[in-house]
Amino acid sequence: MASKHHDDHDHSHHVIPVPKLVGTLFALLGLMVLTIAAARWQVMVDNIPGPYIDNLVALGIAMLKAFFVIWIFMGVKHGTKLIKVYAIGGFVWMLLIGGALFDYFFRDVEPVQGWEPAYETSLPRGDSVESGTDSEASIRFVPAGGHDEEGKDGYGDDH
Amino acid sequence: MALVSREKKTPLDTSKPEVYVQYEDIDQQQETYVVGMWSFLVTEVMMFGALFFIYFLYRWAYPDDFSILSGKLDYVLGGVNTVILLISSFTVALAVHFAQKNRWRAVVANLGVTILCAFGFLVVKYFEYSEKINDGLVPNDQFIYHYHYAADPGVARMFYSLYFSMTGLHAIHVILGIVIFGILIGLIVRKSKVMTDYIPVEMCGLYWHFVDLVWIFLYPLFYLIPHVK
Repeated sequence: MASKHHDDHDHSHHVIPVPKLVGTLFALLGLMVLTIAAARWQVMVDNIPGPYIDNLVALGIAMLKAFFVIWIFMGVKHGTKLIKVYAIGGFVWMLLIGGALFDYFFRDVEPVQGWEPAYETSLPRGDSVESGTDSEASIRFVPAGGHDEEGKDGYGDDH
Repeated sequence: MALVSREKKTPLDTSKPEVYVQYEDIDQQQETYVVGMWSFLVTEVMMFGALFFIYFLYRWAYPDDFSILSGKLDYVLGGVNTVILLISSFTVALAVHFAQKNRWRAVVANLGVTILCAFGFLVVKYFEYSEKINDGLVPNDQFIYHYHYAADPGVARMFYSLYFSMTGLHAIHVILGIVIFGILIGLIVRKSKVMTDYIPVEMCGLYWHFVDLVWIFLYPLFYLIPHVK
């Protein structure tokens, strides 16, 4: 068997032993059962821990499962440093989405000349969620009151 | 039809992989392969990441409606699909393991099981989709909303739009995976000259693990949304 010698002198790849793969599979299946159990238990006991805790549990377990798949199944654990940079960086960049969320959550949309209508907020929810009257078109953005009628662009008429 | 005997040096013998002229040694060559594949996977993360971002925005804006609408999805069927994909990921890892050990019969067997799992996933998906299509839940202009949910019809349309686009894109990746593994098995069985080492199996395996990763996140986000009063 040529593979016998791999651990001695050939560092080009690491052969993951079968028992470790089996263990990873059972860890993944166990985590899946755990996440289903957590979600169902939360439904059955009628919302005792609260949706935020449950979201954290579900996503935390999902990230743990993803870690097992990336680290062991995809062989990143035994990869070179460059491979680790790619593998970790490929997912860590999604934290930048948090930066985009800051825009959506906290910044008013500045009216731009030529953009119509001027929205009151950049959130995908309009006024209709609070009012509850406009059920059919609640996904639609609701124009900010006043912008439409007066300025068209919100900047006045200095041009 | 014998595949490959372990004693003879054939194109499928991976014990002495060829180092191409532009590489210093085998380590650098294989690192280059893996980094190239990861670069592709990062672009895939970007594509799915945009969809997850849209999902997050709407889920944040309409938590109650999303929680109600999630009840329409069968978490048992989704769980079955999760098990199927996890097992298929395991068999792919086994295939890479046996390819590194130059046992190509075992590689083909494991890749065959993987393809079977992929078909199983699609069969379950077919039942899920056809049920929703029969109920008129495809978010086009024929969208029918007559369920006993208290959810907003507009949000329901958005929810099913996200559901079909995200799981649909994932299902397309599963179908592509079947094609990729079919080609790979063909190359191995025909002892193609392309197969100079185990790397093709590993590259296809990385792709499949990524498909598994996407489902790992899709499953709790669509099927296991916590119940909000």
